[in-house]
Amino acid sequence: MALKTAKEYLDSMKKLSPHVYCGGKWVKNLLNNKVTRSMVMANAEMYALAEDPKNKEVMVATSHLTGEPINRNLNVARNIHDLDMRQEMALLTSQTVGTCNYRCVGCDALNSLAATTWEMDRDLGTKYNENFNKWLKYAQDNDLAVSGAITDAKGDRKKRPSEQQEPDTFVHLVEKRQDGIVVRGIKVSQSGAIGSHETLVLPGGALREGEEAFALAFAVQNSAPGITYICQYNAYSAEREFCEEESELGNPIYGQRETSTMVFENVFIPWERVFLCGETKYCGRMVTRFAKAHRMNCGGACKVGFADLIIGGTMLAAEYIGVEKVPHIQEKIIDMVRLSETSHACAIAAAMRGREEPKGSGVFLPDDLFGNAAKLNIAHGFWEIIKNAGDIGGGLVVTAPKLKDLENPEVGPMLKKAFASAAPAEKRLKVAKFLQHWAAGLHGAGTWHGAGAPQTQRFMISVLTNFDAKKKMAKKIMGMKEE
Amino acid sequence: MAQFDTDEIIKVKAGKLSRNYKGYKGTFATLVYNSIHKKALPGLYYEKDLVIDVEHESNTLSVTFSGNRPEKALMDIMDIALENASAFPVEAGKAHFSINVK
Repeated sequence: MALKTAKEYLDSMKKLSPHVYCGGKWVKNLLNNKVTRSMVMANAEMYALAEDPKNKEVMVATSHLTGEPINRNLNVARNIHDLDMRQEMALLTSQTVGTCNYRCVGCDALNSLAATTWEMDRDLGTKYNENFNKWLKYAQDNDLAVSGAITDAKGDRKKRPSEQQEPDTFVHLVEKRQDGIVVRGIKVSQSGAIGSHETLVLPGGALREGEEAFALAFAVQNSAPGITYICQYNAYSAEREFCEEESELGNPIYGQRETSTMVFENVFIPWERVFLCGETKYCGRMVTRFAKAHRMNCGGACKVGFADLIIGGTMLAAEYIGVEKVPHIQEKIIDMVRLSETSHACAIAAAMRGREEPKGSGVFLPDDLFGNAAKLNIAHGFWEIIKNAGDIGGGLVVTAPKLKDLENPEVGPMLKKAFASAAPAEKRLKVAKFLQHWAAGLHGAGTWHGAGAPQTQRFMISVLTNFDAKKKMAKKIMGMKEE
Repeated sequence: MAQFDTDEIIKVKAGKLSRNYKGYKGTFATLVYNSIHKKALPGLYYEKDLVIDVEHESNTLSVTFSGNRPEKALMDIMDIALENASAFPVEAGKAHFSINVK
């Protein structure tokens, strides 16, 4: 099998039984719980997009391992075009589901693994790259949904992983066996592992000598004994769980962004699935390469897709109250487009300026500076965009009654009278709910922290920028002599 | 293109019934470790005290489940375990490993 259909993915999910806890109860079937189902439906759409011939260029790639067509979410970028299509995939998927492509972190993790395991085999004579390629071929052959788990719980930030009072705040090695390893610890803010066949686990950051137990990268199956997923739960989860009809919600099918705290309690990983074990020197590179890819995709292009949806909704809100031609409204809409497209431009530039890393590996990664600029720009820009959505959408974005109240024989006529404007009340309330999903939802802070909080991009930009060269240029123009 | 030997085929037997599954290398080791050390199988967390006895010798694993379950029910349980270990049913192929359940 080269490409799974959405139906085949959903059928495969019916058979999976991960150990999932959500909102006060255990979830035996992901598709029977409204909250977890929204995540699975978003993943199903990733398969559906690849089925549609018009998306082939973006969603389907050619495996460098087999020459067969594969879902781009399982592709290792081998050239500039691959990088460009990868960021276009991030845009398309966000525009389509208005939430995470839950295969996105896995895709960027596997690109980092392809580069770093190759480097380790070259430098150390290990077999990690061989293991990784075999696993990847298996994942491609079966078109598996692969998510990624990177961020450890981290505990007290003043302390190193080995100094933590609770060792499980970082995923770590418990036992090294002849047939595999046993691991435990906690990854947090993990997107979509519950509805993925496999998850790639990477170290959460650079590690030092003496921290070998925390230097781990591996692939693990969704329902491996010892893994527990504790889902996020918030007002949006509760609203979804208890609503009469999901059509009332801001993003009816695909929901808000679903994450979980992923707990590993003595989980066995066979050696064939281990891609780094103890090599601390390579952890920083592995994470940096992941971040390099993820800042172009999740940081840059993905949020541009969200912005497109928000801009569309905001324009409809303006039209429905008859202010679409008011100059300051138009100016704000243009500002939203400017902020969004600047990040898209940075993501495209990151792809176009991408290069092989490490040399000889055949793996292409995006340009670091443009990728970080894309993420940092949208982290700030996204708040501006949702601010303008709230501004133009009006107070109704957060004060609207329940959409179903319009059908109530007692209050429905009152609401229709109150909210009919240049468009019927139903349209106004529907778009207000849609904008609420963005302006008062989870995506603001999610965009800020996803792919790393902005301080990490500032740090990277400071490292990657040649400030002396800029000062020199300025001095030359001014006719100032070098000291 | 590089040639990769990625698969292992596992024959699951319950009395007269049997079925082959193809998984990625290490699948059998995963099933062995979990049945011996955790008395558990992938995807079956909700079946409390399911595994009551395990024997393992080289390429063969024998697992005894609680209750007096018919062969079909035993195969259904193993179908869940194998699929949750990312191993899928196949028609052909010589099995590298076998799992006997009773």
